[in-house]
Amino acid sequence: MSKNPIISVRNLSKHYQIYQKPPGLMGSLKSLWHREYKTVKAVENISFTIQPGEVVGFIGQNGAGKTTTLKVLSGLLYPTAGEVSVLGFNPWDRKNEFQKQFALVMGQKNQLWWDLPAMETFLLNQAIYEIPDKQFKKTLDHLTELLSVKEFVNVQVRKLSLGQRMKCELIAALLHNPKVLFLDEPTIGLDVVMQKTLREFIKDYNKEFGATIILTSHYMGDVKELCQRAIVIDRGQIVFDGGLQQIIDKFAQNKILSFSFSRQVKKSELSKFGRIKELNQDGSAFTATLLVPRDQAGKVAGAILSQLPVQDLNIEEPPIEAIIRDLFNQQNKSHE
Amino acid sequence: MKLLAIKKYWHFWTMLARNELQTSFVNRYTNLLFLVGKLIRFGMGVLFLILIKNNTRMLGGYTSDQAIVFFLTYQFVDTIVQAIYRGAYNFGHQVRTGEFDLTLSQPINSLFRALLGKPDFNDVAFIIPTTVISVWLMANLNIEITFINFLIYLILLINSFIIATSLHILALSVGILTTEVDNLMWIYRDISRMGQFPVNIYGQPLKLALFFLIPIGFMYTVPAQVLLGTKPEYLLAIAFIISASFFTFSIVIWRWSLKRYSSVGS
Amino acid sequence: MNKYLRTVQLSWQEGLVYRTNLIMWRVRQILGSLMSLSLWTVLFSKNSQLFGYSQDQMITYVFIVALLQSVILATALHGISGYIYRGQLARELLKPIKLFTYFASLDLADKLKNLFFVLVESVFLYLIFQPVLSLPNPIFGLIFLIWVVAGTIINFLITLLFGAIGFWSPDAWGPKFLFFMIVDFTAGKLFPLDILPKIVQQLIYLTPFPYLSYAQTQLFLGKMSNAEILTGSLGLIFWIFILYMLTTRIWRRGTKNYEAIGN
Repeated sequence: MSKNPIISVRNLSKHYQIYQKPPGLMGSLKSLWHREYKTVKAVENISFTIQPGEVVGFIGQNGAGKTTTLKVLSGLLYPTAGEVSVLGFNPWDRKNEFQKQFALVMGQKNQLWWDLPAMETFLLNQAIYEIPDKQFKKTLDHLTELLSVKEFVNVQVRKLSLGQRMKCELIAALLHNPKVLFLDEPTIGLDVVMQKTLREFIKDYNKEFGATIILTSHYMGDVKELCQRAIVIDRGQIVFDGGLQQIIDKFAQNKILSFSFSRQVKKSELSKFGRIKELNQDGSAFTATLLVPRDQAGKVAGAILSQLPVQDLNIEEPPIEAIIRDLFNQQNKSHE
Repeated sequence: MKLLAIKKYWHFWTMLARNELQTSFVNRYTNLLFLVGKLIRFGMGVLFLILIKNNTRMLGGYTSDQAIVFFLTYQFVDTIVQAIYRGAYNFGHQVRTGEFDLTLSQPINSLFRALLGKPDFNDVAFIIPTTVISVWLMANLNIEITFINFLIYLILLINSFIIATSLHILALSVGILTTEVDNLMWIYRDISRMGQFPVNIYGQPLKLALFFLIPIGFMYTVPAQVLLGTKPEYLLAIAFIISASFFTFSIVIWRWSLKRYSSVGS
Repeated sequence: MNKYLRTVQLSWQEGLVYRTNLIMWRVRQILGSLMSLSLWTVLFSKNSQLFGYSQDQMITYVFIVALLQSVILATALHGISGYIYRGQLARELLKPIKLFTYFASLDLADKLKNLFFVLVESVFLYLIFQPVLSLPNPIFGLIFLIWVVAGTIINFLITLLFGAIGFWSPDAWGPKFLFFMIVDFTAGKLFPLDILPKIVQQLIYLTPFPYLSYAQTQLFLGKMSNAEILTGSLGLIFWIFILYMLTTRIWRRGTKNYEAIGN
């Protein structure tokens, strides 16, 4: 039952010419008349489709090609090769009807006017997107309710706290009820509380408005909380595309076994079972954490239970962060 | 269809103007100082020409009274251009911070936004008293202005505005690709300022450059020459050819720059 | 000593890397000189004396002012107030070299760059306009150099004063703009101050502005009597003293505030 995808990318490639400046004074002088260029393959032959209403996360290290992909999808960059269709349009035609249906939110870039209340920027966006008054009011009320900033929209933006400002920036971006939302590093620079608020909001927004959401991030927390599906990009290529659980199943090497014991346990007693990550054997609690290969986790746990005085036992998946990190370390190694 | 677009852009621009007005009021002390500074600059120019007038009769083939008309024409056109196109001075910042990318993704023409996005009310506040003073001054000078010359003068001023628009668009086009637009705008202003005197005081090849490379000669000198009833430096037809070709050229370059930006990124 | 030299060197190199900016700045300066020189050449074609100047003297005036603007008025320190307001000053306060000395070395590096270029431009403009420059005798020349140093110090202190605005407000551009307009008026390339009526000149001499370039040009052109040289020197000393007191006081108050807020 595959509906028409709202975003479809086929064999997308994006290459850049980068100018290289040699260091030092001589380098600066030389570059006055001769420059050397190098081709960088930011994105190389990637393909994927996204269905309406999905929340997809692009994960990758810095420079992996996530932002480039997003910029192509939003029409800011022309591809070097390949076909892209978003909402049925070629993004870089930049047709008005296309631009009225999506929103691009980039990191902490501002569009609110500093010296004026956020409301003034909202009205400006209403004019840009040609939103009818009734719809504008309805959406504005709904969003300010969702983010609890109703009292702040008429306060000068410079007087708002960072969190309130962030919320108003979001509202400004969403007033036109976009069907597709591109978020580039949305939680960068935010503290833990604000990150949580933002993630909750994105989840709610997807549920209530049914918008398709693509976000790029190098914070696993974002992806874990929000995305049913993750596309892992490394060096411009898709390394994995699927559900988060699949990432764990496919790439997680180990499971984490956490124990607390009734008496002190020596390192030598534990090390035969697996790699010791943590050992706290002083004070009132005697705890240890081991990394054990997945397929042996059950057996090892049983062995330790029978041989050592275990008070408490916990078996967990490693955090996605660690899994992804390991994945990239492997990729990096294989490219050396 | 076109009419709807004009309505939309007009409505959008009036909203921008209203926001800018409010912003300038919020920063009223800074703006007051700017206004005073500009008035000093204007007064200095007028004072200088009056002193010249009292000490010498001729300036480059014109009487010193006539020279004042050149100065006032420059002031008027340059101020209006700044008032409307102040957005160009902010463009470099927009490109550097990525705000330009944001406007590119919105359903509004990016050139319109870049050029006209920041109407400057400080200049509006400046132009009102200075225009009044200009008119008063010209009424008291020893010059002859006929009605027909005045009409042609007005048409030429519109022409000047088109040339100024083209130069700004060219600067913005460079700004997309290099972020050096701030410096370009200031160089434009300095070159423009050379037009406060009749451009024929400059030797060749500078004079030629000021007519055909950065056409301030057609922007300021030729209209003033017409107003004074003196012979314009070049045929008026050339003034119009220059504005038409510069304008077409600037649009072509803007489109090319935008395309290049979209293939190279920031 | 090495620390200071290194700062100067880095700043110079940085200037070379941002080559477009420096070139653009110099182009702007050349345009101003061209405008002024062309104007006066045209004016003097019909008059041998204007406002008490001969053509040679007026042309010399423009050349000297161009030079002085690069030495006395050029500064790299425009960004101080923004720097302070954004809380970046804290790092500098921790540096071992004293703050004012640090700023002074940055400023000096910038002035040296500008001096180099203005000398090159002057040769270029000299070849175009072929003026007969009127030069002072050696004693006056010496006093001139001292006055130039004094004017540089005055401008440096004023720049620091503007910088201090950053302790209390994000926006220093209003007052700075006004300042530059007045400087343009009193130390401008377009005309020397003494074409204005005497009363205006006397009023302006109550401020530090004429000491930023005008007094030095008058000395150079031999238009000052010995009495005026004396009063001029006293004026320079007076303003350096006053501005130094003012600047150090305000900076002290500002940094105290700054540390208290915990920037």
